[in-house]
Amino acid sequence: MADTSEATEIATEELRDAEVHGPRDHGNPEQAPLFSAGEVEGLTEKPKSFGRLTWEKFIRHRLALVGLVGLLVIVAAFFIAPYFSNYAFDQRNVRDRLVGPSWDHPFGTDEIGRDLFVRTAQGGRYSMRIGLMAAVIATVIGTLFGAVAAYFGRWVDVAISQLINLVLVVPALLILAVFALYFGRDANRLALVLALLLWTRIARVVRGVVLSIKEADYVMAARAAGASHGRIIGRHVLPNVIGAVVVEVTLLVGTVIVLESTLSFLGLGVQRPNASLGTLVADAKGSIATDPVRVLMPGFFIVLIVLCINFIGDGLRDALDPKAKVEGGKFDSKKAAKKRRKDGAKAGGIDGRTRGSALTVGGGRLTGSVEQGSNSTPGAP
Amino acid sequence: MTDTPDRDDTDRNSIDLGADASPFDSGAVSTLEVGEPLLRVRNLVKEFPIRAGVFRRQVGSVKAVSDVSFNLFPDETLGVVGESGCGKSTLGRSLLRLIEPTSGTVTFGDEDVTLAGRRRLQQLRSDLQMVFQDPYASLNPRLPIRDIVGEPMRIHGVSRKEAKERVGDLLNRVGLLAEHGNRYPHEFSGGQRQRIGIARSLALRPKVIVLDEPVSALDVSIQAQVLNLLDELQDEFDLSYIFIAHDLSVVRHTSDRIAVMYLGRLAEVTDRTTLYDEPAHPYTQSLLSAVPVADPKRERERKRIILQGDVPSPANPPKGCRFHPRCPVAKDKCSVETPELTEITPGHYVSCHYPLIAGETLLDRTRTLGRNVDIAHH
Amino acid sequence: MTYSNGSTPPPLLAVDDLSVGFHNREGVVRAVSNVSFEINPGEVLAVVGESGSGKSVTALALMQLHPRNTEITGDVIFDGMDLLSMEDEEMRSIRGRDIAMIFQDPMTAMNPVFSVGDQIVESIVLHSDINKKEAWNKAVDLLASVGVPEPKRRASQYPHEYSGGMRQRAMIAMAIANDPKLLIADEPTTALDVTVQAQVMEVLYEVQEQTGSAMMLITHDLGLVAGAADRVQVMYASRLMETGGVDDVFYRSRNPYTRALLDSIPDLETVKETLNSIPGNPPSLAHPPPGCAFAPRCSMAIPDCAEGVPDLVALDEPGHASRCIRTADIEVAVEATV
Repeated sequence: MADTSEATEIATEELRDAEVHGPRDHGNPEQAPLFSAGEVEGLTEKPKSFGRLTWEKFIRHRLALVGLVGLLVIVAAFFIAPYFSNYAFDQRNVRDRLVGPSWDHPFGTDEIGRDLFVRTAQGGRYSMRIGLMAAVIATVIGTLFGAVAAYFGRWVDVAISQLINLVLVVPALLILAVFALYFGRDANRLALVLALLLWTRIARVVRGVVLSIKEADYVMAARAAGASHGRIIGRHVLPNVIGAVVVEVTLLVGTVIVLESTLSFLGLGVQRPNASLGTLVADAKGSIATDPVRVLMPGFFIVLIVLCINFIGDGLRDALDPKAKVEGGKFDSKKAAKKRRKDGAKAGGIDGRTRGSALTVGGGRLTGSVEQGSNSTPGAP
Repeated sequence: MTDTPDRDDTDRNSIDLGADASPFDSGAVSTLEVGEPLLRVRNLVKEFPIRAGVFRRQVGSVKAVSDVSFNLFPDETLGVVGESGCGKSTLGRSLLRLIEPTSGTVTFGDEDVTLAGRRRLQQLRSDLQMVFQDPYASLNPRLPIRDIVGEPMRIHGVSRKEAKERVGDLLNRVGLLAEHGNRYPHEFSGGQRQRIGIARSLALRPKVIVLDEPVSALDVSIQAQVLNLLDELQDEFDLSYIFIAHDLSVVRHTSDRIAVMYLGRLAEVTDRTTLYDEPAHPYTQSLLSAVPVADPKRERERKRIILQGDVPSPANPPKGCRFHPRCPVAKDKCSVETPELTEITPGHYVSCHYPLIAGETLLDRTRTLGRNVDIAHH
Repeated sequence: MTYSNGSTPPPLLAVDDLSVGFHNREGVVRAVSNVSFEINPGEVLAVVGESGSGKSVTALALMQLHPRNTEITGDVIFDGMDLLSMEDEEMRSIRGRDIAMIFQDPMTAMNPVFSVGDQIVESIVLHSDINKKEAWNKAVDLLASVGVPEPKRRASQYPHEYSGGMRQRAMIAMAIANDPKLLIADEPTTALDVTVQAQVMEVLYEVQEQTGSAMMLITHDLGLVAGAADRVQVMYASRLMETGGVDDVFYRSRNPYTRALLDSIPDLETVKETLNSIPGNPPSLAHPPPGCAFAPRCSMAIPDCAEGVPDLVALDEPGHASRCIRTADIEVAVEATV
């Protein structure tokens, strides 16, 4: 018996219908009066390209904007910081070993007297570099494999899907460890290995999206119009894939940074005297009790970077959704939707067995759709 | 819609269709089959493989369309009705080769569409177009309306400037404003989206449009608007429609001739008056009797024959006549021998071993055979 | 079933001034506005309307199955009990026992991991004291009564092993398991093919006649209404537009929306040259037009129509009422055409 969930489902369904059809007041085509003044207003304005619309929506997404600005500031700081210090990142000052934060050494020094302020900046650059590189390589490989699998189907799909499963079950750390021992540990190689382990996430997303788009009626319509494969892929498939991929990529950058930090922490990452945020935490692990700033500063940056990137990803996801609209400079983010969903779940479980998923989804969809409808007033951009 | 009563005695056998000649190539014509057919469909078959296992080996096939033949005449609307899974949508898509037919021919003018190469097919598609059922899924959400409607023109080499102008005209013609071209699909309601889909199908000035359930996703009050629009456009642009639907009332309203499909096969093809007044196939009769009518008095008087069971799976269709397991008047022969589509009166084609003739009802037949049927007494 | 012998029994369900609003950031979306109606014991009331008219939301509000961010006002008296003021616990004992619901899509309304028999058993033991074995036997009987062949074997099958029509029969069996006084069927055949629809509707009528329960049939299909209902209620943009006996509404409608709706559907038995379509689109519930919601699309609209929502006006026939300020003019029009 699933009456509860079903009921909610139907309520939302009905409402969504009501609301999706919301802007029905475009008026009637066959009889006057056709369109009221308000509806025609804004119609003549120049159309905005999808990229521009996306950008406009993105910069109005508060969290995403905070993430973007935050990330830019952090990266800029990583590059500028060394100029404000008198020390090089690998410069040892035997006399100043293990000093605490001071004007001369804002973050203190390590066991052999290297300035941690400069080293944190250097490590941050290093971590970012590996993160971006690995994410780009993984995206290229993943998109290629995912798209090929979905597009050609049959045995190609079977082969690639099995390969993906294989890579997914391989213990990443073990492979990385072995690889690091045999091939050295410079940034490029590290990034490559990480990419080879992480492309599957992208591939799975791309495969799923391409599979569904391939069957979409609008692709059928394009084929009916005589469109070539190239045109279908370029105009109809890729733009819809990008939305999903971009989000996944931002999340991947975060994953790589964390993974690299883990590796470095285990001593398998960056080769000394170079530093990454991970090695800095690892080096400081002995002095947590005596000098917590040493651990906290690089750790703080790892968390901050990953957070910013996730915010950006969140914003991109919403901005790339053609149906989502921003109004009043305030974008209702996923978080709010989640909160409402939670309220919905609390609202009315009658049948314990079905309470969980269906109702939760119901509540979320309901509120989401109501907004969507009411937002899509004809005058809005 | 054509209602020209004149007979046209053009020689319909001028094209040799080989050994598989169908009853449609006989000389007989009904009053509604006027002129040289625009589209000849012969023995069209579409089977989808069923694959299983790690290596996706084929373990069977879904016989979506089996041996379907018919003609489409200029300026007419041919309705194709049937329940879900009867293969009507697959048929529509196979005609345009959006799905590759397994075998059979589709002749447009004097050219076999199924043999056309890539280039030629692209050109042919300016004559054969399609409108889809779901107005939400058939428009790319990331493109403005201007690009959606203009895409077919751009593909076929119309300049950007001219395309823009023609898109504006088309949007006006289907009841929207040219300025709506700058909007994105989600800003429109279902009915408006369907108008956009229709504008897109008109972009290349086609001769034939396959309408795949064009109004079934719409609310009643919007349905009528779209049906009227389609009707006007047909006259204005000299279009022939293949109107696919599950709703018999809608098909009756729009179509000149109607083909009834059941489990991938044509059960009956004839003009709409004959189909509704003298349906010859037991399936057609039961289908007609199952449709509720928005008239309480008539509903109370009607004797509704209730078919037993559900439509069988097209992956494993019954032997012999595909309708025989549900047919209240089936005989032994029906489960053994597949009935061919035959012309019982000029222009009236039925695939049944024992068609109901001249006003005989299914109820009469069950009485003469001494069979019991469920009759709705409500 | 109408009670013409004069002694009108108290209504089974009395809904008075029911409004349902959904909160969103901009305010409240009114899905149901000031709806009042009654259902008598054993009667079939059809609620017709297009998507977004509020017909399903009304039913869910009666069942108290609405989501949390919902605001409900009004009175719902069922069998002498005030449903809106009930605690969850009490309401749960009424749902499935006194009021049962049948949904549009039986696939999602059933739990895929339990057998059909188990699910019927659960709805039985939830509301009565009989043991599981007896309940199972009753479930098999119920399946037989709704025309599921080989009920013994089918009872232990899972929902995905049932076809659409069979699943809907099983849903009906589950709904009548506790002899409800009121069945709410929300688009029960919309997902089904027309020949299967005929089967399921027949089962529904039989069941409703046998158990003597009242039925609220929610649908967009005027054909189903014509064949099934004793009384009809037409909804548009969250409001009741017209209500009355089935013949009154179909043949003596005094409401422009009802009449336009009836005119716009293609008919199986008569061919019209062009359909009388209703221009425009239904209004947004978030921003309803002032006055009558149908006025912007109405061929009879006059400037006064935008001045406040018209009242439901009672008409000559008992129980027949229409929400239109030009009701009187329409009456003339009807007589003129007849």
